[in-house]
Amino acid sequence: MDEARRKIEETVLASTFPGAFRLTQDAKGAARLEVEVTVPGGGSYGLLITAEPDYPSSMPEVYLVRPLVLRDARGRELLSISPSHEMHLLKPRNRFLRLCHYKPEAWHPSVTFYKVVLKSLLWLTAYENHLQSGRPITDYLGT
Amino acid sequence: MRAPFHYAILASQLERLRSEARRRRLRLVEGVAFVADGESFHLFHEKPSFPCAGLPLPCFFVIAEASDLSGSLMEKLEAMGARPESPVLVLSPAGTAEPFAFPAGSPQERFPVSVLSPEKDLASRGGAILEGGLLREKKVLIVGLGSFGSVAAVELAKSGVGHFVLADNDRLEPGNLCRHACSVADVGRRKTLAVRDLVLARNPDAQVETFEGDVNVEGTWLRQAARECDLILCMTGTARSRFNVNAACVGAGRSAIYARAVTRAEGGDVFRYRPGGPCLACLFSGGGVPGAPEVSSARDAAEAAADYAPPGYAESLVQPGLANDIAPLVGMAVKLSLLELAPKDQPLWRKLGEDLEAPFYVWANRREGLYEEYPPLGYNFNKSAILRWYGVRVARDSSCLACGLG
Ligand SMILES: [Zn+2]
Repeated sequence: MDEARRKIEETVLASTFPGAFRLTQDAKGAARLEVEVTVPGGGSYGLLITAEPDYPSSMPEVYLVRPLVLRDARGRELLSISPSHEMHLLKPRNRFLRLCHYKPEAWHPSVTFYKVVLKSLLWLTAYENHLQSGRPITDYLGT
Repeated sequence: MRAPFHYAILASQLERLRSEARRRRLRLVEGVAFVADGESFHLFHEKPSFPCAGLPLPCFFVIAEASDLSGSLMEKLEAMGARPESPVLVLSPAGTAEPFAFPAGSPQERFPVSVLSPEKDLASRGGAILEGGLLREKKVLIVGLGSFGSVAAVELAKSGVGHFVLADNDRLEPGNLCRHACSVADVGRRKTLAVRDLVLARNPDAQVETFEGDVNVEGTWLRQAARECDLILCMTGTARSRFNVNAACVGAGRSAIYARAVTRAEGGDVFRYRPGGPCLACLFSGGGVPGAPEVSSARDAAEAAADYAPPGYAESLVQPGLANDIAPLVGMAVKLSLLELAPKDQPLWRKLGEDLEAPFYVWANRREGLYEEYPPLGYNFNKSAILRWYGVRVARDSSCLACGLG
């Protein structure tokens, strides 16, 4: 991610999640976005979004880092059932849940971190609905 | 009577040999001939830049007028290890007489020698639409040397393009052969080097640089290479590399051509970027393009398969289409490339410039998948059908972050 792109990402995030995010890059240009999100009328969650130095040509990854343990409606740890198509969860890394957000063929460089966060928020909303209804996340987000 | 032998030498090698012999007062020079089918001899005094048909055999060059050939010369040749079948080429020091050749064992037989000038031949053909030699100074970067890039490289070499940068980080695998320009003899080789040989076999004077890194990681290299080339052809199978090439070309202000097949090559598309026009990211952000890219390698499959897919799913994604289904897509990519490389005053532009106005072209091979609903090709010309090109208008996306920044 170059300087111009980073400014755009920061501007959009600052106006939508003021004071709730931290965007950093390492020496090689790989980016980390830590962001605090709240489901309307629901819980608060910590997300970690990581991107390779060639972002936005490559798609970032989304991890749920807080709370550490999330369970499904039947009480099972989501980590133990990942990866799961029904719950839109990819293979975990470093024991963190990894959310499926954009499909690879839907990704393009004009998608910003902000939009990725919105997609993750959709997942979290669907997850809270799942806890109420017991229906899989695919029922809310599609396949 | 013995069937006539066929002898050949590259004009460039002949000229260098003559001047070297003059400078160092040489009369006898050793070399290597490649003998194919026992009757066709290609003679080299310098290492050829491309693989040759047949088996190598020592050969000899005699720099003398025909009238000066003597019995002692034959003795010298024998002392140097010439066998009866060793080819001997005689060239006059001043170039006043045509070169000729004979097998060392029968100096009384004299065969004419074909002097090959592939570059001149390339330049003299196709003159009606593109003046000869105009592409000699042009430099193209080809990213991805699979079934698309390998064929495009050879086509551009045949069209007279003189400078190539070939980028790919893979080796040729047996599974590539059904669609690749290279052959079974190249399996295991770097695709860059195998394709370089194909380019040089068409145009031995072409300048070819190769890059074996991953363009998704080597962004600095990619941006620099884009700046140094007149045109970039992106012939890779993944969206990520296509977007990386797009970023480099937009940044460098260089035109680019993107070609790909979609699932099992049921169809595909070709996109042209010109500086100031819509970029590859505009194409996707401004409404989206249907169709997942064709997955033709295990590496692409691993990237394309979602993690929660059942075991074996990634392997099942590898469904490359037929070479015949790829050919029209590569053909269009090469045609668009030639148009970008040719100066605007060339007949090629008058004849194709208006026709190829659209930046995006869609092609369907079979009535399946995305194209399931197409009617049979039949005789209708006013309906979408397979095996026809469709030019698509693409507007620049004013909110595109790939070409709108900077
Ligand atoms: Zn754009």
